[in-house]
Amino acid sequence: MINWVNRMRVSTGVYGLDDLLGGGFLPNTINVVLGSTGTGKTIFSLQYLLKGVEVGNKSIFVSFDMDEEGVIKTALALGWDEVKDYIAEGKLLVNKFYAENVSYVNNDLLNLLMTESNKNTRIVIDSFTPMISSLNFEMRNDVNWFFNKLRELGTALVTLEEPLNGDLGEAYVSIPMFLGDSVIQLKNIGYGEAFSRTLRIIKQRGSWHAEGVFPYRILDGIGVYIEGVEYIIESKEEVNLEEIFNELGIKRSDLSSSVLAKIEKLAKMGERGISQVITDLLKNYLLKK
Amino acid sequence: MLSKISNILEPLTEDEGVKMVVLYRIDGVPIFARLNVPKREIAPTLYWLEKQIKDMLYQIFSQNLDEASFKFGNTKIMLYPVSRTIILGIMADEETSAYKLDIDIRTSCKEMESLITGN
Repeated sequence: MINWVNRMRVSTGVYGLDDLLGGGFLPNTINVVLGSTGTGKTIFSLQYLLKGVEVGNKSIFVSFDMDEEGVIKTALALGWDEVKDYIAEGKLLVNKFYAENVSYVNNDLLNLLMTESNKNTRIVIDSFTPMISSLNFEMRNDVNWFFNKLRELGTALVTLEEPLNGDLGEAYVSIPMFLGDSVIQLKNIGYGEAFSRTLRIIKQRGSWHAEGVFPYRILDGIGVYIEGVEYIIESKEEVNLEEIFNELGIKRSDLSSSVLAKIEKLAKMGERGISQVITDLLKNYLLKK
Repeated sequence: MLSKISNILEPLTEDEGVKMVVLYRIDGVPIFARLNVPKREIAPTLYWLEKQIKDMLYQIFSQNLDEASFKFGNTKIMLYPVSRTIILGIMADEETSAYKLDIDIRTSCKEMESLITGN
C-alpha cells in the first residue's frame, strides 16, 4: 500500500482504489461510477458507504430499485452482515424513490438529503440514470446546480448506466461525466478471464490519478478488489535531481524558486520516464526563461 | 497481475529492436503498454492501429489465426492471440532478428495464457 500523507481524502472503501486515486476521493466532490449492468456498481457504492460508517461518517443510500430489505439481502449475500445493524442504528440511511416521480430537482429527494446531511456525509445515488434519462444538453445547468447542492452536503457517489452499445455521447451520460469531479469506469466483457473485469479512472479533477486499465474481482466478504497497486509502486522511478542538474551543468541556485518547486513536484510524482521529462523541460523551456 | 505480465513481457520489452509491446483486450482496450521509443516517433502508426484494432481482433478470433502482421516502412506490427480475450501486439524494427523475436513472443504468449486463463 502506498503511504499517502498530508492529504485530506475520503477513503473509497474499495480495496486498491485509494492508491490509484492518490489517497481517495477529494472531499465535497461528485464522483461518477460508470458501468453497464453487472459490473458491480451497487457493490462499489455499498462499499463506499460501509467505509463511511466505519470512519464515523453519516451514510445515505438513494436507490430507485432497492429498499432497505433489498440492500440487506445484497449485503448478506456478500457477507456484510453488519449492514443490518448499521441500518437499524440509523448509521446507514436507505431510501427508495420511484423513478417516475423523481427528477433531479425533486424536492423530496433534496429535502431528505439536506435534512439528513452534514458536511461529511457520504451520499450515494444508485443509479443517477433514471433521474436524468430524459435529459437534453440544454439542461446541463440544472444538473450542475444539483451537483453543487450535493457538494455542499458531502462527498457523493453517483452511478451511471453505460449504454450497452457503449455510446457515451448521449446527454444523460456525457453531462454527468463532464460535470462530475471524478469518473471511474467499470467494464465487464463477461469471459471470466483475468482482464474480463477492468476499472479505469477517466478523470479526477485537482488530483493525480493512475493511468491505465486495472483488473478487478468481486469477492465474498470483500466486495470490489482492484489489482494493480503493486505495479504502480514498481513502476515508480526514483529521480535524482542532483544528477540531472550535473548533467545540464547547472546548480540548484540557478533556478528560480517557482521553477525549482515545479521540478521537485514532478520528481516526487516519480512516474516512469519522469527523469527524462525533467531533463527535457529544463533544457528546452525552463532554463531559457 | 500487471506486475506478472510486465515480468513475462520483459524479454520483449528489453529487445532493442522492439519499439512497443501492447496487450489488447477483445473490445480494443489496451490493458498493458510499454513503449521503448518516444511516443511521437510511433504516434501515427499507433493511432492507425487503435482505429483498426477492433476489426483486426475480430478477424483473428473469428478465423482462428495464429498471428497477423503488417508492415509500415521499416516497422513491423505483429499481433498474436494469447487467450479468448487478449491479443499481444508487437511493433518492431524490420531489422530485428525475426527468429529470436518469434521465440520470445511465443514463450511470452504461453506464459501469459496460463496466467490470464488460470489453466
